[in-house]
Amino acid sequence: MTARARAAALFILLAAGPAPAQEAGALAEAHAPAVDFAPSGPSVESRLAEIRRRIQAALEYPPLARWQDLEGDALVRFEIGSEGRARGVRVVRSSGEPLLDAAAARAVVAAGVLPRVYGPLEVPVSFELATRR
Amino acid sequence: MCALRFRREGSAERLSISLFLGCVGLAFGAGMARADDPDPTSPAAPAPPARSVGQVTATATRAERDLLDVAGNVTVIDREAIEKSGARDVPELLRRESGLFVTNDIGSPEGYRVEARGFNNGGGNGSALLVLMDGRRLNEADSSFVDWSLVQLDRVERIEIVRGPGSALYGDNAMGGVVQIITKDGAGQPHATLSGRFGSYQEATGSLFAGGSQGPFSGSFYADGYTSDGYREHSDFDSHMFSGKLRWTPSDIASFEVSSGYSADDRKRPGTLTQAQIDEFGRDAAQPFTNNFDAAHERWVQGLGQLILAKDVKLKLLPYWRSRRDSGAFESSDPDPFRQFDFDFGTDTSSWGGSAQIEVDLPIGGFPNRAIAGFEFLRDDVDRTSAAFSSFCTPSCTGDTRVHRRILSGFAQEEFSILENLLLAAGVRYDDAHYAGGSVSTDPFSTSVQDLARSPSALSPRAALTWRFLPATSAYVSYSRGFRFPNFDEAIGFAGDLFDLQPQRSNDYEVGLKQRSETFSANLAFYWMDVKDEIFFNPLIVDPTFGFPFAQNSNLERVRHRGIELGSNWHPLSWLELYGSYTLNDVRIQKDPVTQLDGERMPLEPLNHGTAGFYLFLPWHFETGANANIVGPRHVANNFGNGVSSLPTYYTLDTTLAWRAPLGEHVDIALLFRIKNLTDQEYSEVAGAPTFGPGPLGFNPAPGRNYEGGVTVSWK
Repeated sequence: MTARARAAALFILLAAGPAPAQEAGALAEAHAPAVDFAPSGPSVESRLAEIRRRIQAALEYPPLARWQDLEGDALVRFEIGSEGRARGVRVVRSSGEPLLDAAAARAVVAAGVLPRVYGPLEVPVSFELATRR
Repeated sequence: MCALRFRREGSAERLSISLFLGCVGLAFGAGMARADDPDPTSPAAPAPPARSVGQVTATATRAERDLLDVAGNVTVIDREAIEKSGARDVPELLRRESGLFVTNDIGSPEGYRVEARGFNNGGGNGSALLVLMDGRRLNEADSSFVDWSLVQLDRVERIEIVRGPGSALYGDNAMGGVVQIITKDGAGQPHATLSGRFGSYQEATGSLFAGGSQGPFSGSFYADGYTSDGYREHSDFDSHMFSGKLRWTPSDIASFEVSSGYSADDRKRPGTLTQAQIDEFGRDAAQPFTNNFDAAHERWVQGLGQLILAKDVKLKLLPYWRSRRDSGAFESSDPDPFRQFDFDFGTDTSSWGGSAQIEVDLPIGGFPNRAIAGFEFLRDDVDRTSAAFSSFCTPSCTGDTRVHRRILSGFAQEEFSILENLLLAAGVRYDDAHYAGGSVSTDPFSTSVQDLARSPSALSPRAALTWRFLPATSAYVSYSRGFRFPNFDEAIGFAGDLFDLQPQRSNDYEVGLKQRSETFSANLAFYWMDVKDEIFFNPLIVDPTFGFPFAQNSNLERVRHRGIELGSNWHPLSWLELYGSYTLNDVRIQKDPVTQLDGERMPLEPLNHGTAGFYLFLPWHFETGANANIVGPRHVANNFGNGVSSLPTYYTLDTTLAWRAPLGEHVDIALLFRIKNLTDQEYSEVAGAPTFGPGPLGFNPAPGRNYEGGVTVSWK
C-alpha cells in the first residue's frame, strides 16, 4: 500500500466513526469554524480581536440618540470581502431604535480595511448612556 | 486549522478525529487556506455559523442631568412603576406623590383635580399646575384646568413631576408645579399591548397600543374606550379616543415627529347632596331635580423636530394645534321657582402655537455648562354661546362670548458647574400677553364686555444652587418667581366685567435634600411661597350693583403657602418594596383688605396628608400590594371665614393582587385584581358652602368599597 493509499484508508476509517450528534453540536459550538485566508501570520483570534478593535474605534454614539436618551443592543452580521472591507453588512438583531441600528452598521463599514477572515462574522454592539453630572 | 480531537465517552476511550476538507486540501497542496472547515466558497458546503468578533460598546453621557443635580423636588414615575401600581389613571398615581393634592368630586375621570403646593383650594378658580403631554399644554384655555379623562394611563411611558414654580422655563400656570407626561414610543420590533378592565359600577375599559419601526420610520397607534355608570346616579361617563404617532429619522442629526389624536366623551354630573339628602336618598344619589351633562370632542395635532446643528448644539421645534367643543347644560327642576333654571351652553376652544429652543453644551474651564434659550407663541380662541331660562330670565337670557389671547414669550437658562459637585442654575423668562374680544349678555347678573383689552406681562427669574456633597446625596437651595394669567372664565366671568383682575404672582424660596441609591431614594423639601393677587372665586365680594355679597373672581392681596414635602421609596429586600409620602401645606391669607380675613386658612387644602404602601413580589410571578391614603381635616369650599365645620379626616386602603408571567418567548400576560376602599369608608373628598347666599353644605360623596379586574397581553 502506498503512502497515499494508507492515508486515504486511515481517513475513511476515522471519518466513518461518527461522534454522537450531541457531541458534534458541542464540538461545533466549542470550535466554531475558523476560516483563514493566510496560512501563516497572526492567528484567527488575534485577527478577530483586531477587527473588534477597529470597529470599536469607528463606533460613535449618535448625538441625536444621546439627546433622545436612547440605549440598546444590536447585532450586526457581515463578511470580509476580497479587498478587506466589510460587505453584506446587516443588522440581524435590532436594538429597537433605527438610529442605533444605523450607527452600529455604520461603524462596521467605517472600520476600514480589516484583517481577512473567511465566513460570516457577527459583532454585538451596545449603546449605553452614563449619568450626566 | 487542522485539528485532531480526542474525546472520552463513558469508560471507553474513543478516538474521534475530524479532518476538514480544507485540511485535506492543504495536505495535498490543493488549497490556499489552512482551514479545518469545508471550503466556504463551495456551493455544496453548508453555510457556516457566524463567528463573533466580540462585544463593542458605545458610551456617552446622558443629555439630561441626574435627578440629584436638579435643583428642585423632582420625581419620575416610569412605566415599570406604573404597571406595578395597578393604577387605572394618572391622578390615582399622583395621589401617592408628596406635594400634590388630588381630589375627585364626581368619581369619574373627568372629576379629578390635581394641584401642587396648596392651590387645590376650590371655589372654581383656575389651575396653578401646568400639565404637558409630550411638551404640549393640556391646561384648557377657558378654565386652565386639565381634563384628566384625556390622559389615558395605558399610553403613558413616563411621568415627571416638578414641584414649585416652573414659570422661568414654562411660563403661565406653572406656579405650583409642572407635570410632564411622556407617551409611549413605537420604535423597535413590532409590538402591541391589549388591555381590558372590568369593575364595579358597570365599568369597562379596553385599550390597544401597537408600534414598530421600519427603516428610518417608527410609528405607533393607540385606541381606547371607557364606559361606566359611576358610583352615583347620573354620573355615567363614556369615552373613546384614537391617537397615532409617526417619527422619521432621516439621519443621526435630525428627526421629525408628528402625532395626532381625537377623543370624544359624554359625561353626566350628579351635583352635590346636602346631609339631609344623603340621609334620605343615600350617598350614591344624584342631586334631586338636577340634570347636568356635557359632551366634549377634542382633536389635536403636534409636531416635534429635533436637529443637531453642530457639536453639542441642538434645536428643538414644537408646533401644536388643539380644538375642543363642549356642549352641555345645567338644569334644575326644583319646586322652588327661584331655584328653577335651565342653562345651555356650547363652547368652542382652539389653541395653536409652538416653541423653538436651542441648547448648547459647552464646557467652561473644564466644567460642564449648558445654555438654553428659546421663544414660545400661544394663541387661544374661545367662542361660547349660552341660553338661560329661569325666573330671572323671561323669556330667556342669552350670552355670546368671543375672546382670544396671545402670549409671546422668550426665555434663557444657564446651568454651570462652579465646582465638580456644585451646580449653579439661573434663568429668566418674559411673557407678554394680550387679551381681546368681548361678550354680550342679556343676563341681569352679567355685564356685557365691550372689549377685553388687557395686556398683562410677567418676568419670571430663577436661581438655584445644588451641592452634591455625597455620591448619592445632594442638597439644594432655590429662589423662583411664578405667575398665572387669568384664564378666560376668570377674565370674562359669568358674573360680569372683571377688568381689574390681575395676574397671580409668587415668590418661592425652597431648600431640599435628596438621596438616590439602588435600594433607597428620598426627597425632602421645605418651601415658602408668598403669593400676590391670588385669583379666587370669592363668595364674600360685595357686588357694587346689587349691594350684597355676590360671588365673583377676585385677587386676594397676599396669601402665604408654606410646606414640607417628604417622599421615599425603600427596596430593602428583593421581594419587598416600601414607599410613603407626607405633605404639610399651610395656606393662609396674609392680607386682604376686601374680605378682611387675614390669618384664615384657605379652603379644601388639608394641613396634612400622606400615603404609605408596599409591594410584595411572591413566587410563581405573583405580586401583591397595598396603598393607604390619609387626608387630614380641611375647610369646605367657599368657607372663607372658616366659620363652617370642617370636613373630617378620611383614609382609604386599596389592595392589589397581580400575576405577571411570560407566555412563550414573545408574549407576556398580566392579570390584575384590585379592591379599592377596602374598609368601605364613607367620606367626601370635596364639599362646599353655597356660592350665593346662605344654605346647607353640599357634599360630593366618594365611592365605597369597589372592585376591579383586568388582563393585559403584550406581544413583543
